[in-house]
Amino acid sequence: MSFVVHQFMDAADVAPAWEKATDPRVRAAQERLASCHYAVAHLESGELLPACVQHCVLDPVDSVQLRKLLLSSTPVPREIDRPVSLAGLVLPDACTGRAVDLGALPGTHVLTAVRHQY
Amino acid sequence: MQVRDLAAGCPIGLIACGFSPPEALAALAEHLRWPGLFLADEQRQIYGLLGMRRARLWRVYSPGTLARYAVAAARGHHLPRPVEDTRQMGGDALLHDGIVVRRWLPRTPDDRVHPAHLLHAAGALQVTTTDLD
Repeated sequence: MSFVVHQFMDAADVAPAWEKATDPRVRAAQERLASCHYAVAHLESGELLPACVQHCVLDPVDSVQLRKLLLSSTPVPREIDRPVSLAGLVLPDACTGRAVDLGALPGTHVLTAVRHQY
Repeated sequence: MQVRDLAAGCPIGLIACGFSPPEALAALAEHLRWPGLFLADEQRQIYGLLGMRRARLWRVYSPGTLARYAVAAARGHHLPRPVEDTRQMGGDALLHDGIVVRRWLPRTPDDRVHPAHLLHAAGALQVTTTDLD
């Protein structure tokens, strides 16, 4: 019986590590690729290769398509670009108590509305 | 990565708002070291104007969440009752000269626009409006 323990590595480190770069930053990735037990045969060449190498070096286009497919099931916020005027909306700043007229704020601001606290 | 960190050094204002009492929001602002305004919107006027709706009940109290609560209760943990509307969702928007020009409304309590995307859009808006001025 064998146990496979997955530990993901940064995709940016895989290509230079596979090409045997000498940068010390990618040495850890080189060592892990050399000892990788999660090797599978490449669909076209049949060569036994670490899965990380297949994803990052040999099949980058397939990986991009796979990422899109996986993310397509993740909900994303609805984006709306119809303008809404905040003229006349005055709210207190929780920290200072000062009344803020949102419609009179000059310039560009990012507005983040939070959920409940309790 | 938070909006606060990404916006550091940018000439873009940051505004947060919540519907909790002002004292609670002031404590949150201090905890977050929030650099901008933190508005108390107890009547949820911004939420209503921008269409930030309430999540469906099953999105907040999913079977997994209820099971977790049940296990905690069975182990004798005290489960505090919520005192605020747990179904109210938040959201993010870009504001220019008092007008919300773009907004991102979550479909579930968890899906918020990525802070980097938000700041990128804010930077692009600022460049566009500066050019027009």
